[in-house]
Amino acid sequence: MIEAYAFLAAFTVQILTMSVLYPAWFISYVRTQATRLPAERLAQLYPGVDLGHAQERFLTQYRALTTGIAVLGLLLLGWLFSYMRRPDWDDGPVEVLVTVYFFAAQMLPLFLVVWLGVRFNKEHKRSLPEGKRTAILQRRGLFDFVSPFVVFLAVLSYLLFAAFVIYIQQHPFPGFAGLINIGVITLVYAVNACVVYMMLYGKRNPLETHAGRLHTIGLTVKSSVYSCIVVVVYLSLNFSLGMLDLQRWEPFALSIFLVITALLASMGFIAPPRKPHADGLGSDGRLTP
Amino acid sequence: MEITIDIDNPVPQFEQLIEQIKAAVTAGVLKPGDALPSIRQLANDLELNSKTVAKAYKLLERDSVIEAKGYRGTYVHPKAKANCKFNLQGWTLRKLGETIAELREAGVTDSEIRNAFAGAIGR
Repeated sequence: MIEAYAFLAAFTVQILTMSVLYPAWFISYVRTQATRLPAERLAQLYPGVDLGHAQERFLTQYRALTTGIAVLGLLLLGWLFSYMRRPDWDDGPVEVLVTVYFFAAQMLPLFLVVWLGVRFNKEHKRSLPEGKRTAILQRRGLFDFVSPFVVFLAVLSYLLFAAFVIYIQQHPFPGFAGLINIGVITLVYAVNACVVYMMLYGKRNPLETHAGRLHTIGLTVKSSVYSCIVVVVYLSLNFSLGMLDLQRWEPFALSIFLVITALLASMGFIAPPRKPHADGLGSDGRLTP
Repeated sequence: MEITIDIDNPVPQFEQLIEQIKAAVTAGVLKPGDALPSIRQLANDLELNSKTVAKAYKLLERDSVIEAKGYRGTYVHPKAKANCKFNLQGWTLRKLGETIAELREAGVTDSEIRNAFAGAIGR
């Protein structure tokens, strides 16, 4: 029964983190970012619109949506509490499906916000007058943002995971998907590699300062590399639970994994504002050795 | 070091880039062995076509101001400062002047020289 209570506790943490804490961080992030946007350009782009009012209205809608999702989570928690009192609660994948679908619902506001942000940046870019363009003549590389040791760890995790999957393939447990797992993890690594590449060498956001851009690149690169490691650790743990016949712990592990992954993916909102020289960047935003 | 490209400037963008890199080398802002950004990075940062940046880099490499070290990237040439001082345009003018003077001495007319030059450069 301890597994059921551990899962319920993890699910509660998932609700609190993703639907209460995370929105609070995000709202504070939006308010800080809004003060950095060029007011004259915004006035040109949205004539006659009270931007402060529009921002607050957007944040209220966002808060309402996340509160609704939190309430849904609490209702699900109540239902799970009664469902998991049954002795056969682990017969089907109900709690796993509930965790995954509820997590998808929790991420929905973030996807909406990202979509709105991309649209906003595109609109802004179109409105930017042609003129002088500046860049800092300094090479950016992966190791300027994340230590070689962490990258080595990510590569090592991949290789060890592949070896582990091949080993389990010889003594499979029920429900083990086999070598497809290597394909899945390769896809995860490939997607993260693309994200890192796009961040390092992709087009810049015209509203971002050089220092701000380096800060964003640093956070994204770190979260991508750490995410790769966390995914490998989670899947390995999941397989170990399967091999040791401890599947009842899987919902708990899944819920914790989803929260950690989401927090890693949103490091940009949570990380405090950059202090000069604290992250290897000079006050002018250049990388310092 | 900040690079600025003025889109409204009639000077071609690759020349603006070359001038600023040479100026930085001459002023000592860029030192021999300093790493330069990749073509893709600089092109995206300046919102230029990567061919424009590649052309600038190619001409700087020809003048031995920068050197490409394969996959390791592009670096400032060890003799970049001295090579920046070399006036390629002046040297070309002087060489052409000498050739034209020789041709005139041989009795070739200016229009014949122009036609021959156009034919030679279009070859």
